[in-house]
Amino acid sequence: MNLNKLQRPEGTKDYLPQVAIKKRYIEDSLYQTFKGWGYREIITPTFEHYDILSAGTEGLQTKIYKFFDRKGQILALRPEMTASIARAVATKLKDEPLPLRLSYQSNVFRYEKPRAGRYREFSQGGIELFGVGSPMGDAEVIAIAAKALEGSGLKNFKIDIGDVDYFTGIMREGKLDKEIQLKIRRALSQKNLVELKELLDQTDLNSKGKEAILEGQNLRGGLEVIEKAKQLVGNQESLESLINLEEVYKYLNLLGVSQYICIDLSVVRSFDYYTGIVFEGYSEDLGYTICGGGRYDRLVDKFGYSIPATGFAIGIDRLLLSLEEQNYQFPIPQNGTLVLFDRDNNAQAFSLVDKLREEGEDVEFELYNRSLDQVIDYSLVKGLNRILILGDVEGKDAYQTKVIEGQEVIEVLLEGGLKGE
Amino acid sequence: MSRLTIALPKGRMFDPVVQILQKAGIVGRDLDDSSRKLVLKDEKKDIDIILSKPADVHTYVEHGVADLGVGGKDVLLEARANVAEILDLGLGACRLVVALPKDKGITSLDQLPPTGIVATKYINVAQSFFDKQGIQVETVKLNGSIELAPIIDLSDMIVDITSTGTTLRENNLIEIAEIAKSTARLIVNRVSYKTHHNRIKYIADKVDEVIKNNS
Repeated sequence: MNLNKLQRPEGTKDYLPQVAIKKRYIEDSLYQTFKGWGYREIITPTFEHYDILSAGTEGLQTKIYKFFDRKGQILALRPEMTASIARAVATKLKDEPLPLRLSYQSNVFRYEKPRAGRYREFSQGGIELFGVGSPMGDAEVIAIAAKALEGSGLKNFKIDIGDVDYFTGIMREGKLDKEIQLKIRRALSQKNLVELKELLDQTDLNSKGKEAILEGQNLRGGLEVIEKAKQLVGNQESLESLINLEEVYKYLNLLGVSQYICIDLSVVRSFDYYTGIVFEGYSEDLGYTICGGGRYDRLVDKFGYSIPATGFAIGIDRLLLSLEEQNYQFPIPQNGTLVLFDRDNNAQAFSLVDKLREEGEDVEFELYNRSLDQVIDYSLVKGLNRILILGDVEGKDAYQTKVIEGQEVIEVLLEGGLKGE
Repeated sequence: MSRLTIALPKGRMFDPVVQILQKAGIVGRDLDDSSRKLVLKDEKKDIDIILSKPADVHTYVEHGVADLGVGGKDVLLEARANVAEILDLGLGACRLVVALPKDKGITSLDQLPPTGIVATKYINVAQSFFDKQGIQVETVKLNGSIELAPIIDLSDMIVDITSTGTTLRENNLIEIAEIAKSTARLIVNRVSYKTHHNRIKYIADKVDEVIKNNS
C-alpha cells in the first residue's frame, strides 16, 4: 500500500487514546445531564434516505455526502441528528404519550472545507423535546444546554437567546415582498450589517421599522433589552415574540441558569428552519459557537405528524477544544497496574488480577517477560501507577514485599520518586 | 476589559486604514507594515495588531485569532468567509467585472456563446455568477496577470477587479458585465462580536464617524 493511502481522508481525524478518553468523559457527562432531566437516548442509522435528511437541515443540502445503494436509491450520511429523530418520532414513536424527551450522541458528516474546529466527520451530543410549544419548554431545553456545558467543566461560557419572529413581524408589518425578505433574512443570518443597511434602504419600510431591525443588532443583555425592544416595535407578532422571550428568561432565572444567559436579538441562525426561540452557546476561548438550537415547529409536520419541537446540539469536538484551551484538568483517575509473574505463579496472578479489576483498577499483564528495569521504563511511559511482582523476576530484591488481596507480592510504586528519574 | 486583536492587510490598503484607526483613536502609535515584525503591540490602547496578507485577514478573523480585521469585499465574497461584516470603510473601491477581448465583438452577456472558459482569481464568485445567469463556464484559476489569459488563448474571458479600467483598456479588453462592487469592510469574529460587543460597537461607531467626516 502506498503512503498516500495510509493518510486519513481530508477532514477526518483519529482520536488517539489520550484524546479519546477525554471525548468519552465529555460524552458521559452530557449523557448524565440529559438523563437527569428525563431524556432517553435514541440511536438512529448513520445513513438514511436523502429525502429525509434533506428535509430537515438548515441549509446543509449542499454539504451532504450522498451515494446510491444497489437498487439505485439515493442515500446519504446524516449531516445532523434532528431530521432522523423527527422521522423516528413521526413514525415509530407516533403513539407514545407526549411530551417526548430524546437525547443522542453521534457522529455526523458534512462536506465542508476542513479548518481548525471544523471537520467532515464530527460528534454531536444533544436533545430534542417534542410536543411542547410553551415558553417553559424552550426554557427547559436552554437550561439543559447550560447545565450540560457547566457539567462538562466549561467556564466563561454564555448562551445567547433571540427570537426569529421579532424580525419576521417587522418585515410582515412593512409588507415587504418575499424576495427582499429572503435577502434581509440572509443578511441577518450572516451578520452582514453593510448589506443589511443597503437592503433596508431599498425597501419602503418606515424609519421606525428600519431602526427596529438595525437596533436589534445591538440589543444585548438581560430583561432590560426586552423593554427597550418593546419601544421599537408596534406590530403584534414582534411584541408577542418579545413577551415569549421574557417568559423564557424568567423561567431560566427560576431554573438557576440565568447567569449564563444573555438576550441577544441578533441571534437568528437560519430562518427557513427555526420558528421561534433560537440560541447559541460560546466561550471566550474559542472563535466558534459550541452549541446551537431553537424551536422548529414545522419540521415534524413534513413527516406527517404535526407537533411542536425544540432542541439543540453541542459540538463535542468544539467543547473538547474549549476545555483544552481553558486548561481544564479532566477528572480522569489514573490507577493502572502492571502485573509480572513467572510460570509457577499463573494461578495466583490470575486470581489477584481478577480481584483488583473487580475493585475497579485497570490491570495489565506483562506478556513479554522483560527485566524489571525494562518494565519500569514501559510503565512510566504508559503512565501506570505501580507494578506488582509474583514469583521470581530479575531485580526485584530492591523492593518491598507486601500483602495485597491476601497475596504476597512485591510492589513497585511509580508515583513520586521513580517518575522523576 | 480584555485585549483585542486586529488583523490589518499589508500593502496598498495599510496606510489609509491605519490613518482611519488613528483618527478614530483606536490605535495610538505609529504603525509600519514594512517592518519584519508580524505582531505589533499598542499597550496604551490595549490592542494587538497582526500584519497579514490581504487575502488572509478573514481567515484570522474567522478562527478568532483576530477579533477584528479589514478585508476587501472581493476577497470576502470569494472566500465565503463566516464573519460578521459590520462596516463599509469606503476604501479601495473597485468592481468585479467580466471582460473579454474587444475584437470578439461581444458587448453583453447574452451574446456569449453557451459555453466558455473564464480565467480568474475569483473562481467561486465567477462560477456562481455565471450559474445564476444560466451560462455554462469552466474556470481557470490564475493568481495574477489575469488579463493575459484571453490574449494567449488560455481562456475566452476573464473575471477580475478593476478600479479605473486602465489595465483592461491597455490589454484591449472590454467590460461586458459587473458582478459586484467592492470596498474594504470592517469584519469581526462572530464570537468576539458577542464577547466584546460593547468595545467593538464603540470602535465601529468611532470609525464610522471618521469616515463620514472624511467624505
